[in-house]
Amino acid sequence: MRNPARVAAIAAAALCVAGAWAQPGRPAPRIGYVYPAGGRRGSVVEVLVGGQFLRNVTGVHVSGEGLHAELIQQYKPLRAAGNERRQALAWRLRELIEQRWDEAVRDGQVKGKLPAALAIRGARRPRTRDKKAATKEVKLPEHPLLRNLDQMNLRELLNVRAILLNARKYRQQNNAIAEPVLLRVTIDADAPLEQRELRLVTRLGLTNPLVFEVGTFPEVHELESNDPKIFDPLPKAPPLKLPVSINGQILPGDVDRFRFRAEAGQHLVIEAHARRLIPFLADAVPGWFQATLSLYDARGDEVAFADDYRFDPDPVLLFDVPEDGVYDVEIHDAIFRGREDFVYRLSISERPFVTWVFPLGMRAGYGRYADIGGWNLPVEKLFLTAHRDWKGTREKLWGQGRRAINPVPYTISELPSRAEVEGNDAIASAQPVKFPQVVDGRIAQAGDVDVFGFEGRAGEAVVVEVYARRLQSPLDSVVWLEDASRHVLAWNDDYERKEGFLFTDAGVLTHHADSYFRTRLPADGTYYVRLADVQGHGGEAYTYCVRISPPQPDFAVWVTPSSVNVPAGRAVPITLHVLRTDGFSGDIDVALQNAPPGFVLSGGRIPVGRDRIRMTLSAPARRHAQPVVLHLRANAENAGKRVSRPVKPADDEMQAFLYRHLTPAHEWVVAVIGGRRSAAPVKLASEVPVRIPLGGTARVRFKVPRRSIPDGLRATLDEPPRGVTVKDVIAEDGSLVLVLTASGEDAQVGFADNLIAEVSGEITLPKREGEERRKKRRVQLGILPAIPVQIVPKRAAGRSVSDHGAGD
Amino acid sequence: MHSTERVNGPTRREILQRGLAGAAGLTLLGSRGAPAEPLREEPRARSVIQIWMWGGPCHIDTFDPKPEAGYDYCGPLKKAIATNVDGIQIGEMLPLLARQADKYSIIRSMTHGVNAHETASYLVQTGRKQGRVVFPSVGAVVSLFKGYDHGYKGLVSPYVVLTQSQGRFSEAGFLGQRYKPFCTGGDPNRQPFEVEGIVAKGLTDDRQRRRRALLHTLDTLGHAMAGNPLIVRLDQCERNAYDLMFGDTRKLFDLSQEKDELRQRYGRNTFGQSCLMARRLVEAGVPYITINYKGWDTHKQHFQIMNRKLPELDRGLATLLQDLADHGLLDSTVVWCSGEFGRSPRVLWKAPWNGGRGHWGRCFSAMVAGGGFKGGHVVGASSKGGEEVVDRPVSPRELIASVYELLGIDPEGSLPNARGVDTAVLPPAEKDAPGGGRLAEIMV
Repeated sequence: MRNPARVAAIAAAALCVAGAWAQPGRPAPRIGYVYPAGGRRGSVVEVLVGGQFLRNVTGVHVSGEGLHAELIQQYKPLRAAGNERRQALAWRLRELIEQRWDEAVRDGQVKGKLPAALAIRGARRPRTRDKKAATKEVKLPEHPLLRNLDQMNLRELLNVRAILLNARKYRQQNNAIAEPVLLRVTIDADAPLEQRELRLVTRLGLTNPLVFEVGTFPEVHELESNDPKIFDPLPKAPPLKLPVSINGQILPGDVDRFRFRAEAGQHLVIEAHARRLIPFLADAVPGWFQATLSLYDARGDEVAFADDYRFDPDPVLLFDVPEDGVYDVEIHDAIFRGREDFVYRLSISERPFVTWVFPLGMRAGYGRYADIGGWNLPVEKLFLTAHRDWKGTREKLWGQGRRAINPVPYTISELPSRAEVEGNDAIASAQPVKFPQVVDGRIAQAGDVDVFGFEGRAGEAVVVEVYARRLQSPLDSVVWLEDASRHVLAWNDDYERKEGFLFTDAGVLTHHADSYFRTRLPADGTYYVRLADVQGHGGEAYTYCVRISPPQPDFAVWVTPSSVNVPAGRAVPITLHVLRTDGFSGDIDVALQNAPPGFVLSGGRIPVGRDRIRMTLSAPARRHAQPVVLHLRANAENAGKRVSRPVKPADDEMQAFLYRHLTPAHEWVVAVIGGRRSAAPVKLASEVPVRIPLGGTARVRFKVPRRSIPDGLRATLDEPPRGVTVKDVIAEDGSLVLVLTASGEDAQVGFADNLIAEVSGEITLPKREGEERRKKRRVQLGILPAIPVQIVPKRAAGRSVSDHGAGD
Repeated sequence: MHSTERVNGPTRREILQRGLAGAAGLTLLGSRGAPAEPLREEPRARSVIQIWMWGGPCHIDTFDPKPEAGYDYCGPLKKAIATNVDGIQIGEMLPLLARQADKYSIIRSMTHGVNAHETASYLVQTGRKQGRVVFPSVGAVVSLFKGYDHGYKGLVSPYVVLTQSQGRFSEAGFLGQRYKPFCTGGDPNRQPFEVEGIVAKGLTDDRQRRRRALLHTLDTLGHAMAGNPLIVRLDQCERNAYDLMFGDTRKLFDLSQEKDELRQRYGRNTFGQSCLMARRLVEAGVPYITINYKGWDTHKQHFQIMNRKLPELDRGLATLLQDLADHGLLDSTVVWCSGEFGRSPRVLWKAPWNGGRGHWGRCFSAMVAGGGFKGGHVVGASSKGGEEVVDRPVSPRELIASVYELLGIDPEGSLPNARGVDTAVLPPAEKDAPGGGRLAEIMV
């Protein structure tokens, strides 16, 4: 058995020796679902969050304006309650259900004995086995659903039974969502109608973000069992009034059905939000909650069905109500999976819903009106703003309250644009365009082909890029470049940017249907860009924007994760992902922007040829009471100009055990955790990049302020480049020196990277009785600031190899 | 599985039909495609026991330990143990196999780069990447060249899977139904081992015999047309069926005939008893036996699962090797143990995995023993963390080609097919492949 005093002594010794740069391995707090995943403006909502390592929740961080969240209570996982308490729950539910049934019989709501389907069979009155307990009564488990259990009506009790007793039988234990936390979210009456991100703040740091939506419709929450196939003797709830937003969770095999009243002539928009709330499930195939919607009339006939909306897995039903009456809408997973993180929001309304926009492209500095089409639209045109310094994709939000349209994406470029003129279906009737040019077009009907002709010169580089799917157009483009003799010079269907199983083009699209290619023209002459839908579809909504231009080298940078937890005075690694477009290949320098004092980014250069690199973020010595939103900026020389781009936060999320996606986040939030005050961070004291001669060594020095350096130092490199190792770690004049080597066989001259090194040392334990000598124990001391390195030829290393020169 | 559910694979009736067809020399494919290649003379191996670790076992927790890689790679399984062969170490949870290392060789450089179960299984079971044509698995190819068409007389199929079907990964592909495996179903660790179509679940032998007698009493057609060739053949089928149920075949699957001590040594679990059953099938001359050993897809709770499975593997496999040797069968029986890929060397500590390992096709291990494979050797090497192959990459094709060669099957021979296309048993070896596309260094 462990001696507590000895354990405390070990901890104290470790802290004393290792000081502020110790960074023991900590479990990362994480949330898996937020339910309900939204609320109405001007309301207060109780929200249940499920996750892992959520002990000691201290607060909630919500992005955007107009939302305030606070902790009500956090609970242990239900399974931790033990069998006795779970039996007590079954028994108490049985008692209450029988009691409420009798009351309902007396009130004339139901007749007869409690149906067998509602009885909880096998529930026994629990008796505690604890002989010291004052009473034989067993307490109920603590769970958010069990608050006010005695005040619940019969349907609410059946809901508790369905979720906590029935569904558990068919569920796999899932630690990742087992710890419930109950929050109170207050939504201001004027809160913007945007998606928010909600993160829990714990003693271990911030969790990952999950989506919380702000709506304008009245909200209801499902009560199980609302499955039409499950026997329900209770009087039917009155039909829902429209508009409404329904919140629910799909459990294994679960089907949820809701009744509402509609009138003939209504143009209903029935939207399920499921995948957009939790885009990727790592441990499920398909890798998200694949919701399906069915609509039934009063006769029980299915009148509409959707399992997606175009390419978006979240289904939308656009339904013209043929006659007055009640209708049932049903939602379930396509293959009847379910779990607490299969959360949905289902809205039924006559909201404006845009299904197409034309044009999709704007020229920077030249905003203009675009035609829109869809359902219940109060206007036919929208002004799409395009400031002079804007570039890339934007979203247009328009309208207030129930008249608010769904967000309309469009793209802005610096190139001149023009509209397609129909009749350009063949080379002979190709529409002439200038070079460079952006053309806004539409595949107007099934089988339509659009052809554009331009004059090119021998040796000229040409890029053809389609923007459609990224802007929510249903077009699945394919594009060819042909010369006058119809010889195909280049073509492309889908353009995926992938590194292994990681999609490096941030977003949640899984079918990268937009086309792109880059080629060089062989001779002077007229060339033709031919564009079509690869599936042969077409129509009003099949709009696109195609760029025909010389390469416009550019880049975008993302940082993962979007929630960073740094112990005070220490460093943690972060990953920068670069998307280089049109052949951009230069160095990119990343720097913190207006960060509070004490935050330091190390290894801030993304060298030529690297699309992914790790850096470290060091925190100030003093803990921050609240998480801090930080900003990174990426700067580079591009065609003789200084170009600056914001670094966007994202999370590296896995889909279905395999594929990974950079899921965009709204904010890059950093929590400084640990003790109130720590020593100053370890600093890199050598000139960087550290140039390691091929086949030789280089020394790199770190200044370790105000603390003793333990014996038995070891350093391990995390995911080092091939051939680079740590040969030695030396404590020298209050500094720590790493001796790095580059093996001549594996390392490559010119390769540049940031090394992430973790250091451990030995501490001496207090002497035990009977022990002759004090024992030693190895402790992790922490991660050093990132070390930029470059492999150089041995001769070229010269005097600048390191602060102490080249080694052997 | 529910007791009434049928295990995939041929029924007893189909097995009987195959047996009769084989005996009559009716080679189905021979009549519609190219003739099968003649077998080589005096092959080293007569049988193969394939231990298919479905889901992908972790190479660094089994045959390629990396104690220096640290906790992020090894988790709690941080030790390697010495074997009875100098210089070879294996995972700490395989102490019994460590004592048998002179009997097997380890390939630490298996690679194909595919991380999806279906495609990787197809690759490891056929030696080919997926295409428009579905090729037969190794077992089906062995069944073609060593089965009924080439002198095999057993009533049990020449290709047996213990116990559950591998689905389409043990399929016969274009070879057709005749070469599909017989999946035993049931659990050899239970008494009786309820083999599909041989031991009826919930039916005593006496009742089964009385049913037969009743059937004969009611068989007026059989009595009236006695002597009709069709009825004679039907009677033959029935006799064969009852031979399966009450004759030597029944005895073959009756593990209670083995000593309790031996059964204990194998491990009283489904895998251990499957290994024992496999040895009995080898004794009976069955050329290809697959033990479909599930449960290696450890995305979550990896180490908890390893704590249960590795001792089971260690006991069952080590005893199988020793038992085959004791029976003088190891020299003529290839034992091949691998999954479709390995597992991510770096432990996935974060949620939702919480200490799990993902799929890893870039580098994994296989173990081969007997039948002409040398023992006490290691082929290839992986990187410090077990993530990459750094020496002597071995493709599934090479491993399969080596097994074929030891069985006397020409990897470059032709597979009969209904399309009339010249189709080789395996795709050609890559140019400059070490050992000519086979594991020459560990083949006797």
